[in-house]
Amino acid sequence: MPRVLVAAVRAVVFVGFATAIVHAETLRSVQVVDSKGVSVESAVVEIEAQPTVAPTAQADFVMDQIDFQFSPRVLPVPQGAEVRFPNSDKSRHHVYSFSEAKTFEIKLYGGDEAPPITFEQAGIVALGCNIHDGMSGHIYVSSSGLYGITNEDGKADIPNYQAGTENRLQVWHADMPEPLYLMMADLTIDASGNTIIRLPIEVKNEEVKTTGSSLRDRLQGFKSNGN
Amino acid sequence: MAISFRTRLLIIFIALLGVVIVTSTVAVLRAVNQTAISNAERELLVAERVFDSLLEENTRQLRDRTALLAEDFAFRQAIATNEEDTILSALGNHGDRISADLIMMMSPVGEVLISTHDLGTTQNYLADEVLRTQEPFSALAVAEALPFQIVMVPVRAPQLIAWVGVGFEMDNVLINNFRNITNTDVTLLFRGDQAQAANKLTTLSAEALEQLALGNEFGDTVDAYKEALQQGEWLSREKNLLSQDGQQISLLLSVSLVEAAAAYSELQAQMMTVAVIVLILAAVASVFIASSITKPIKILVSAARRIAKGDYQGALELPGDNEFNVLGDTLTQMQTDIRVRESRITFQAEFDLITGLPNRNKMAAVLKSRLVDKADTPFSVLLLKITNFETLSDVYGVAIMDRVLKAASDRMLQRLERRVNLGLIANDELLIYAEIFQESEVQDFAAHIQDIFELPFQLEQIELSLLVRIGVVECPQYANVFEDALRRSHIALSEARIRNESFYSYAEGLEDRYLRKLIVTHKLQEAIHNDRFTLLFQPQFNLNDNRIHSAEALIRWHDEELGPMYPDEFIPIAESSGDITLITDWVFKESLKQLASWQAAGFEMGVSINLSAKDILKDDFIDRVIALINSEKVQPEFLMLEVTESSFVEDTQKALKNLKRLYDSGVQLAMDDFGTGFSSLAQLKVMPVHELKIDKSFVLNLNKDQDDQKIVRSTIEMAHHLGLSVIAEGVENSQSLDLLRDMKCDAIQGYHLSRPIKADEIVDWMKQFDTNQLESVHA
Repeated sequence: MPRVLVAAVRAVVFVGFATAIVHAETLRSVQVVDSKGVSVESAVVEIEAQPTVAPTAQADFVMDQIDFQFSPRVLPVPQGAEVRFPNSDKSRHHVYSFSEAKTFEIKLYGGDEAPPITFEQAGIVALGCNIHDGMSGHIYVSSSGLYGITNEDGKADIPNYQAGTENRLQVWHADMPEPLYLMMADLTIDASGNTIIRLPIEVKNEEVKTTGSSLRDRLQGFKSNGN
Repeated sequence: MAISFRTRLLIIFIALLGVVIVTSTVAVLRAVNQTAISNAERELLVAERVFDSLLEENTRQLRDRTALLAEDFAFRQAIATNEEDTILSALGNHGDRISADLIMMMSPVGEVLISTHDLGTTQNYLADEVLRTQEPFSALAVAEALPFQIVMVPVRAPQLIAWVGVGFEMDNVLINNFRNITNTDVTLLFRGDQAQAANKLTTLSAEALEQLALGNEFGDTVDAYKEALQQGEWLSREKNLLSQDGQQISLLLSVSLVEAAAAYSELQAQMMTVAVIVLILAAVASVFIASSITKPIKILVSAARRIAKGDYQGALELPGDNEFNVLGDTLTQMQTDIRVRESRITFQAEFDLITGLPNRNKMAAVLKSRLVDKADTPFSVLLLKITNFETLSDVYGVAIMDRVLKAASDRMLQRLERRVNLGLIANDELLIYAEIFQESEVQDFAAHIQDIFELPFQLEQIELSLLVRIGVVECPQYANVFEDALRRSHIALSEARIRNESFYSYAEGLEDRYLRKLIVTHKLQEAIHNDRFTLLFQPQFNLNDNRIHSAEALIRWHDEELGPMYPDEFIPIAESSGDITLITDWVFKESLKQLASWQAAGFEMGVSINLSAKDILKDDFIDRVIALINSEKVQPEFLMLEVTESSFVEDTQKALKNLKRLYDSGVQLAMDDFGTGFSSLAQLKVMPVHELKIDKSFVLNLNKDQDDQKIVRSTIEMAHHLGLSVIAEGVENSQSLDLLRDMKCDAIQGYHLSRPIKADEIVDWMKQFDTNQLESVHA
């Protein structure tokens, strides 16, 4: 927890520089940048408030595996959502999670043979494959259901919500060990309802590590040669 | 060029040290080099073992890792799916997990199911092994021209379902790592099969090796490589790691000899530096040592040179106490001895040993410096001769005389003034330089000296009196060099002797007279031997008989150089030289010849011959005259011999005795020059003569001088009373003749009668002589 506090304090200080008292209700989107001001993609922004519209609980959440990688890499879901894990590769995968929010294992499977997994508990669930070490994915389970994920411009749209008394905003990215918590009241929101949030990390944005293995390629080559 | 002793010593020292140092340095350097090589060899040997164990360790680690992999449940599960894609992805994933460079799977029967690399002939070997064993094993292999360590591990589920082979490339990382551990360069030469050219991996970067062609023949390639290494001063060691079915891997370990030596180069440099420093120090030390050795020699040499130059005063200081000091002491002793000896020689050269007085040489030097020092102040040189020295020496001997001389010099030194220089220049001659020049002073000084010798010298029982005569020369007026002073003082001394005086001062012209005397003496000898004399005869007129009764033979000598010489000058000289008797003999002979001729011509006249005092003292001369008379060749009454009073001074008794003998023989005798000498009437009384010849000094002015008349008259009377006849010489006028005739003088001689006439003219003169001539003159 100390680390969270530190992060919070830092963020408070940070936001404090651009202080202007604006009504929280006007927040429409969030622009996430890293410490160098580079747009951060796949960052999840969640607001702890009352949603104006009830989240669509029955939406189809899919965590696919394509070319020895999870797709999407980060999947935000509301609490209680069911997520499917289809395998689009020819090789079997062995997906597992040891996260607190959801511990599970789908043993060597291929195609659509794996049953969907329900994420009842809010939190961050880190995914791996037992036989492909390079595979890594995350499922963000939101308690409020008010969340957005940044696009490649680092921008996330915030759904409509009703502000409470002590509204908080949290930002998380896969490279961060803990989410960043911010008080809504401290945010500086511009006329278009956007706020810029700077993360205290530096994101290697350009590439999401391709888990290409030279050995596997060579083996593939061996196979192609008809041996 | 002569090399000094010091330089030679230095050269020897330094050369010796140089040889020792260079030899030892070279030996050490060579040993170091040898050590470097053998160290390098040992290094290689160690490196090889290290390489072996490193490879083994590496293999073990790989096998462990691979074994862990093969035991991974998910992996085994994946293999067990038997699905090619799953297996493939799992192999790739797990291979990556342990950083394998090669991965393959083999069926339990040795069939390669899948592989990242073409294993070539290696798969046959692996297949054989797989069939043979159930345990993991490892092998080296060259796959696709790259060297690999391959580990084969069985996969069990739980029965053996496959073999997984994992390969690790032996790459630059490996060999560099190895190089870092062993500090040895590693070269791997390898090939996959016989068709392939050899390849290499190396930590070396030498260009010569880069360019080395890697041939097909593996063995040759390795050899060539080794050769190239050797050329490049590398020490190498080869080990074949794999040689199977055409696959070859060779390991070449190498260390640079240059580097190996370089490790010692600092040591070598230090050695060289030390050698140079030692050589320099040794050289410096040698200089000091050589100096310390040669310094005393230098001192000795310079001392010897100094002594050779005649300087005996310097001290000889040698440090330490060794042979050189002995040599130095000897040299010092020598120097002292030489100095003493030389001063003795100098003393002997300058002083008389008996009296301690300066000798002739010293006196010469003293005079010389005196003449120079006070050139303008006159002083006197006195030559003092002990006249009776010879006589005394004959009597008492040399030893006594030496003592007398010593006593005399001591007394003189005692009584003479300090400012007087006294020296002994001969046994009987002393020389005195006195700072006086006034005649009276000189006289007083001479008298003082005489006074010093007044008292006799007492030697034990003997009492000796020394008689001295002094010749004086005033310097620098009459002598400005020693020789002149000595000669002229001798002349003065002679003069004193002649004058029978105790001292005589050299006067102007004395030497000339002296010299003339010497010349005359010399010429006289010639004249005697060559009959250069002539006789003149001066007639004598007998007043009683009125006739010419005799003629006096007068000798004359005409010398070509000296001119006409008169007896007054040369007779004394002849007397002192002892030649007088020869002259007298000649006069006798000639006179008698003339006498005979006169007699033959009918003139009854005699001849009168002068005898010298010396003649009278010579017995043999007297004998000859008497013998002549006795031979009756001459009638004695016609022979008149004239003697002077001075003849009796020297030895009166003998003279009287000889005169008596002549008298007895019947010869006529006359006393010549009567009245001028120290005539003694008592002597005259006993003198055996017939006639007195009154000296012409009383006669020449007889006609005018009353005193002369009285003397002559009384002399004639006295002679007559004594029974002697009288002849007057120097009669030059008739008045004197008349006076003499009145005085009853018996005979006359003089210009009034005739000048001396030449012998051959006398007969003619006699013939035309007329007694009246005398009277006519008178008239």
